[in-house]
Amino acid sequence: MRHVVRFVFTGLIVVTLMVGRSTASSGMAQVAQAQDAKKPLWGWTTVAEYEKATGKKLPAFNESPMLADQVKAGKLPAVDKRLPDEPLVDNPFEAVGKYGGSLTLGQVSAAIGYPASNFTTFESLFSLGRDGNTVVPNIAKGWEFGDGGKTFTIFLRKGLKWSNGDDFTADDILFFWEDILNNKELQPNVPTRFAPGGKPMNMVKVDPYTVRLEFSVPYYAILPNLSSVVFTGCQGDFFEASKYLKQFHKKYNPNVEADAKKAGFETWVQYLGAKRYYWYNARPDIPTMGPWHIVKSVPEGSVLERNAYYYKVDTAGNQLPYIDKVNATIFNDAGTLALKMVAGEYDYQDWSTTVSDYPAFVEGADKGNYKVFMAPSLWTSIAAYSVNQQYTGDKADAEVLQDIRFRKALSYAINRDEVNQVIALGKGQPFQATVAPSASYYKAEWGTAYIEYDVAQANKLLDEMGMDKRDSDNFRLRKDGKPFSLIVSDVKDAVPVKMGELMKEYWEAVGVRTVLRATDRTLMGQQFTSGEFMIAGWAMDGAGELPVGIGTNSYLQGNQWGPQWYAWYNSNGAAGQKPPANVERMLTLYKQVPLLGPDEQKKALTEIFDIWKEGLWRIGTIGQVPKPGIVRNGLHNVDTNTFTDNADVGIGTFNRHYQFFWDNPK
Amino acid sequence: MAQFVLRRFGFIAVLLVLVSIISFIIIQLPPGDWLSAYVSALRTQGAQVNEAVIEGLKQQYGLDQPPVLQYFKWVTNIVLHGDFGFSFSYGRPVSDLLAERLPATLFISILTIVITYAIAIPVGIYSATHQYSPLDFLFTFLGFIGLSVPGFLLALILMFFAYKYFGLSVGGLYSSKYMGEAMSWDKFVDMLGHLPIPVLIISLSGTAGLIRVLRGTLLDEIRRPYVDTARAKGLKERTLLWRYPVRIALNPLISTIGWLLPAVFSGQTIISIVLNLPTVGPLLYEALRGQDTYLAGSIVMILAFLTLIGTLLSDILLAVLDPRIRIEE
Repeated sequence: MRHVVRFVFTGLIVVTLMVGRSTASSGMAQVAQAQDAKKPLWGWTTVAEYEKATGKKLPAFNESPMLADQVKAGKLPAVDKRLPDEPLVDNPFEAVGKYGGSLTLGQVSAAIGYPASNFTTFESLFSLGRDGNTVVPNIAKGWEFGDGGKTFTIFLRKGLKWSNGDDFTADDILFFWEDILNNKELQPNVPTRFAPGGKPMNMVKVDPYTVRLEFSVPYYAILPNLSSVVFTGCQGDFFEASKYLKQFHKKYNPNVEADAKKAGFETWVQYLGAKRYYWYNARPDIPTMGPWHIVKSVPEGSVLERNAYYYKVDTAGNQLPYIDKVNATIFNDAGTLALKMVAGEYDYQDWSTTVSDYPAFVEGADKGNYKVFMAPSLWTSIAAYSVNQQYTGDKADAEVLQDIRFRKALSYAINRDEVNQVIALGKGQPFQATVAPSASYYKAEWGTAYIEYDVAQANKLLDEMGMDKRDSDNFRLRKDGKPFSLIVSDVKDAVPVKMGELMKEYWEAVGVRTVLRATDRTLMGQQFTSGEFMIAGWAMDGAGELPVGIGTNSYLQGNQWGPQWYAWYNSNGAAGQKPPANVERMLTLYKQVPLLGPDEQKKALTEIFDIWKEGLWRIGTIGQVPKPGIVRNGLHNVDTNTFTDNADVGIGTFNRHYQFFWDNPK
Repeated sequence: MAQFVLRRFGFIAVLLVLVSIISFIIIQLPPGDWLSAYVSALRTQGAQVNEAVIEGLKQQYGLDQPPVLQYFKWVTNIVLHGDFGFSFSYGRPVSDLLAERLPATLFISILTIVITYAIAIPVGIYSATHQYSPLDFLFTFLGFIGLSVPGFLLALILMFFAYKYFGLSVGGLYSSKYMGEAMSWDKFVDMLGHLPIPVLIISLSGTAGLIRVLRGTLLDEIRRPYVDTARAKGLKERTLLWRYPVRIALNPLISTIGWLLPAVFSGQTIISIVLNLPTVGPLLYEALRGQDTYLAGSIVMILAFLTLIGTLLSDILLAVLDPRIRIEE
C-alpha cells in the first residue's frame, strides 16, 4: 500500500516539477544557507558557573505568561520554587527568544511517537554538546571517575523536579536499577551495558543527590552510555519517575493485580509496562523530565504542553522552553510525510525524509512558508548489502557467499557515482560501510576500499572463483556447473526504493543472475536471525564514533551477516557457532571496547576496522547522504547544519527544540 | 418470523466462535509477534534496540505464553466481562481506542451513505428512464470511472490538486491546531473545510456501483408487462414509475443494506489512511500490520458480528418490504 502511495506521490511531484519549472528558481532562493556562525557548544552547568565564566550577573528568573497566569491563580508554585536550586544555564543558538506560540511536529504512528516524542520529552542524565562529541552535564550536574575507572559517581541537582512536581532524586535512579532492571518478573537479564566484565554493577545511594556505580572492571564507556548516545541515559533507560510508578509496582502496592485487572490488563507487569515512559512512545499522564509533556493522546496524534518544572534557563534568566504547546500529528508513512511537509503542515521536520524529495520540498517552500535545509548524516551507507556468511539454503550457494572474491566482485560491479546521482541527486559520497569519517581514528582506506567501479576486475574475480562458464542467458554458472541466482532481500523503508533495482542491474552486468525478493521487515528481522537469506540491504547506521565506542554497533557483532556468530557474541559463547579466527578476533575486541580507556579504545577499534575492511561482509554503496529538512519561516534558534539521522547520537540532542521561538508568537 | 430470527441468532453465535478462532489463527500466522514487528519498525527508522530491552518487553507483554492460552483468556474476558483486552501498541484497553474513534467514523460514514443514496438513486432512475440519452452516457462514463479507479488513487489525485490549485490543506479532519480540543464553532467550521474531499471520494466509489445496479434492475423492470398494463389503465407516467418498478428495483439496495453496518463501523480503510482520517479502519490496518493481536482480533470480531446482524436485518427488511418474499420454515 505505502509503496503505491509513494509511487503515485513521486509521480505527481515529477509532474509538478515539469509544470512548475519556471518558479523553481525562485524556490531555490529559499534554501537555507548553512549556518557558518560559530555555534555555542552548549551552556553552563549552574548559574554560578555562568556568572564566573562570563563575569555577567544572571537576571532574575522569568517565566512564560501562560505559567505566570497559573501562578497568579494559585495553581502553581512560583518559578524560583519550581526551578532546582541550581538550574542549568543554556546558551541559545542565535538569540534569547520570546515566550509563546505552538509548534507542529510529526510522529510516525500512534505506537511510534518519534521524532516528536524525542524532540519534546527526551532528556538524558548527561548530554552532548553541539559538536556531537563532548559529553556535557544535563539532568545531572556532574560526574567523577574513581578507582581507575572502577567507580563512577553521579551528582544530581538539588530541588530538581518532574513535570508533575515530584522531586527528582537518587531514588529515581535506584528504583530503576533495583525494582525494574533487577526484578526478574520485569527483566530476565541485566543488559550487558550495566554488567561490564560480565558482572552486574553495584549501585550505592551516597545521599539523596549522589549515586555511585561500582564495577568489577574499569568501565569508561559508562559516561557516553548515559549521555543520550543511541538514546541512553534517559527515563526508562537509567531512571524512572519512581514516586508515580510505585502505585503500579507489586513491591509497593499489594493490590496491584486487582488494579491491573480493573484497568483492562492481565497482569501487573503489563500494567506497569503501559505506565512507563519510552523514548519512542511517550504517553499521557506519565511525568517526564523533558521540556514538554504529553497531556493528551488522540487518534490524530499527541498534544503536549510545556513542563512547568523544566530545569533550564537561558542567559536572560528565562525558564525554557520558549514555546508553550506542541502538537504532534501522525504521518504513518514516508509518502504522506513528504506530502504534508510540502504542504507546509509542519513547523520543523527533518526525520524520515528522503534526499530524492528535496526538489519537491524546495518547490513547495514559498507556498508552504518554510525554508529547506540539507542536514549532514553520519551513516556511511544509505544502504549496505549484508552478505550472509551462514546461508542455510543450498551448500554450494553458501560457499559462493563465503568467498571474499565474490564479495569484492559485487563491490567492484557497483557504479556508485551513478547510484549517487539516481538515489541522492549527487549529494552523497561513494562509500564503503564503515565507521563515520569524523571518527578520530578514521583511516581513509576504510571508506574507499573496493569502491572503484571496475567491471573488468569484478569479472576477473568471478572467473577466478571458477564461475567462468555461462548459461544460455549469459549468466554465470557455479563452479559445479549448476546455475546460480543471487537472491536480494529488498526491504522497503530500510533502503531507498530504487536501490535494489540498481544493484540487480550492476550485478547482472557482470553475469550474476540477480533476483529481487520484496521482504517484509518483520520477516527480514527473523531471517537475519535464522540465516534464511542470501544478501539484504540495510543502512549502515550507528556508525558515528560514540555509538561505535560504547559498543552498540550490532554490525560489528555479526548482526545481519553472521547470524550464528552474532548469537555466539550475545550469549558469550553459549549459543551459536564459534567464528573463524579473524571474525573471532574482531568480535572479542569489540566486546572489550566499552571497557577501554580512550587510547587503547582507539587502538582496538583501528584493528577492528582493519579486519572489517578486509572481511567486506557488508558492501557499502553511498554514504554521508544529507537529509532534507524544513523549518517554518519565523522560527528561530534552529540549527540547520546539524545531524538528522541522530538515532545514533540521541535524537533531539542537536537541535534543542526548547530553544526554538517564534518571531510573532500566536 | 420470531422463530426464524431466533434460529438465525443461534447460527450467529456459532459463526462468531468460528470467526474468533479463525481470526486469531490468521493474526498469529505471519512470522514473529507484536514485539518483533515493533522492533523491526523501530530498526527501519535507524534506531538500534538493545536485545536485553527486547527480552524485558517480551516478558512484560506476556508474549511468551502459548497462543492457545492467549486465545482462551481473550475470549473468556469478552464473554464474561465484555472486555476486549488491551492493545500492545497503545498500552490501552481496546474498548477505549474504539470509543475514541467511533464518533468521527460514524459521522463520516453516515454522511457519505446519505450522500451516496442522494446521488445514486435519482441518477440511477434518470439513467434507466432516459437510456442512451446524452446525460445517461455521461453518467455511465463517470460511473465506470468511479467503479474502475480505486478510491485511494482518486484521493491522492484530488489531494494533490486541492493543494496545488486551491491551497486546501491535505488530509485530516481538521487543522492540527484544533487537535485534542473540544468541539467548538471554530473547530467545526475548520472541519467543514476538510470534509468535502473525504466525503466526495468515499461517496463516489459507492455511488458508481449503485447507479449501475439501479439502472440495470430498473431497465429490466420497466419492460415488464405489468408496467404496460398500468400504463394502459391510464396511470400517470411519474406515479407509475415510483409506485411499481422503482420499488422493485430498490430490492438489491435493501438486500445489501446489511453490509453497510460493518462499513459504517470501519470507515473506508485505505482512503482513511491516505487522507489521514481518524476512523476505525486505519486502526485495524495498523493493528494487523503490527500484529497487535487483541486489537486486531477484537475489531475483526466486531466487524463479523455487524456483518451477520446486517445480513439478518436485510433479510427481515426484504420480507417486510417485498410481499413476494416469504420466510419459509
